[in-house]
Amino acid sequence: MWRWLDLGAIDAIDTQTIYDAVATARGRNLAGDTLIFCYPRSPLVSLGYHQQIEKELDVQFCRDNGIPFVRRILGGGAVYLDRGQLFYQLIIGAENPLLPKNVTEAFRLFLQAPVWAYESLGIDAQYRPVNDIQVHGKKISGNGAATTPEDVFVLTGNIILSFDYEKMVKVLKVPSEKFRDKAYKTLREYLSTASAELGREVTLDEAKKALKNGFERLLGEELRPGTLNREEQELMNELRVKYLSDEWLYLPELRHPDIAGRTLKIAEGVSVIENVHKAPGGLIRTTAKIQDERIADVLISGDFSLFPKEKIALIEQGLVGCPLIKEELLSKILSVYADHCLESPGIEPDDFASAILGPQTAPLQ
Amino acid sequence: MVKILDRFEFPEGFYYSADHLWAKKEDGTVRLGVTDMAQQSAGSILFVRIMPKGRQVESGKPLGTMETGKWVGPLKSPLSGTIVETNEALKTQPKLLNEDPYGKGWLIMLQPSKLDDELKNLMTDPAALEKFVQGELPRLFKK
Repeated sequence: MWRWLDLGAIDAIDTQTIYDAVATARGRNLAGDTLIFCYPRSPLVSLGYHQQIEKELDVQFCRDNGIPFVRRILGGGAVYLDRGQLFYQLIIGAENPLLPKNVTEAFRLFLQAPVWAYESLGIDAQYRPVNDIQVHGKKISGNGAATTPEDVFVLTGNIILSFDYEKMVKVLKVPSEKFRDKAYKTLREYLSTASAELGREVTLDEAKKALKNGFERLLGEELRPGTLNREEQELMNELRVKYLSDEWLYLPELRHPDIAGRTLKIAEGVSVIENVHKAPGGLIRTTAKIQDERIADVLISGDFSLFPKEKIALIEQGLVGCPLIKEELLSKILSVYADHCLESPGIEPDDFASAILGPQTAPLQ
Repeated sequence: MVKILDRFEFPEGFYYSADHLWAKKEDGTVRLGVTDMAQQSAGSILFVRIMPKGRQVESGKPLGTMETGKWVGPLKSPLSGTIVETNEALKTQPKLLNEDPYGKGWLIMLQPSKLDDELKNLMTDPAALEKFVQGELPRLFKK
């Protein structure tokens, strides 16, 4: 028997503390398996559990614009959340036979409900492993999960009715404006919303009804509204203090020296990656959109010299579609060099390939 | 080296917990890490967070967390004691946990407080491990 908390608009930070509080209560046997529907009264930024805040967020922009930010207990990246998104939050104990122990299988099972919700709204949505729901190759729902120390499984996600693409890229800390621009365009290209798909405004009520039906079908029971108990409310008050504390926001164990490069995952299989590579002839900065391990497009800039200089565009064009394999990148770059008699003092074709691949390809120490 | 089902390595001389961590005695302290089976089930590990040096941990309670595919889960200590060293390399190279779970992917060195009592709860016998792995297999790798 599931408890359904249909909460509507709640305080922004409570949208993140509530599932932590309910999962904690569930772990102490103070609550049963629970499904929460809610959305934030005002915008917030939610940071992935293992993210380092000052590397991910433009903290000053958030403060200047009154957008609170919190670290969640779930994985994934920083996200901008507002009332254009209806959240579902599922809290289930390990002893419930419905729960697969394998995380991918858990996503596959529980994301059926939002997939059905989108379908009933008239959107041809599909589950895309591990944790996306997509429509015609575009992400339309983001999801994250955690297992608590008491073995309670938590899964949260959203039905996206509308999305503020501009705010999303403004709250992020980015290495360059080129990166921000590419992130914005890639988000526009690979993240869709229910309203955009249907060409009309989809309301929160419509989405809630569809989502409720989806979960009732999945769980095999009628969902009846319940309430938070006193212990959970007390836990939420405690967690609110914790979530706003510097100790929680700037978890000291996560701090480590900067790793060069910045990767922003947009959807399953789609990322924007910026790297800087130092060569004797200067710095090379590459900002690439990667789709399914291939370059969808790339911008190359820096303080190196290439003759004739406008031919850099030919290298960029030559790399489109190329897989992220050093030999293949190098072969494309070499053929552009040969075809156009390019010269670059202190920069080898190999340096461009190394820049694109970034430090992650360095051999492990 | 014990291999089970030709897929999962369980080296000899290590103690294994039902929470999929291993322990190995080393000169009065104990080195802890994650089993090969757990890392294979988890897939690519993106982050590892470990409690700092000096922190006391209890057996069955988390000594840290790991993240994989947008999932965060606890790393439950197989033994109680005080953390005397942590594997700093995991901060920048969490994939060591996938690539070398019994070597460079170790998690912490622990000064154990109840070693003799708690080692009894861990598995070393190949037959017991085989039975454990068979039981975990359908849950960790299928529905």
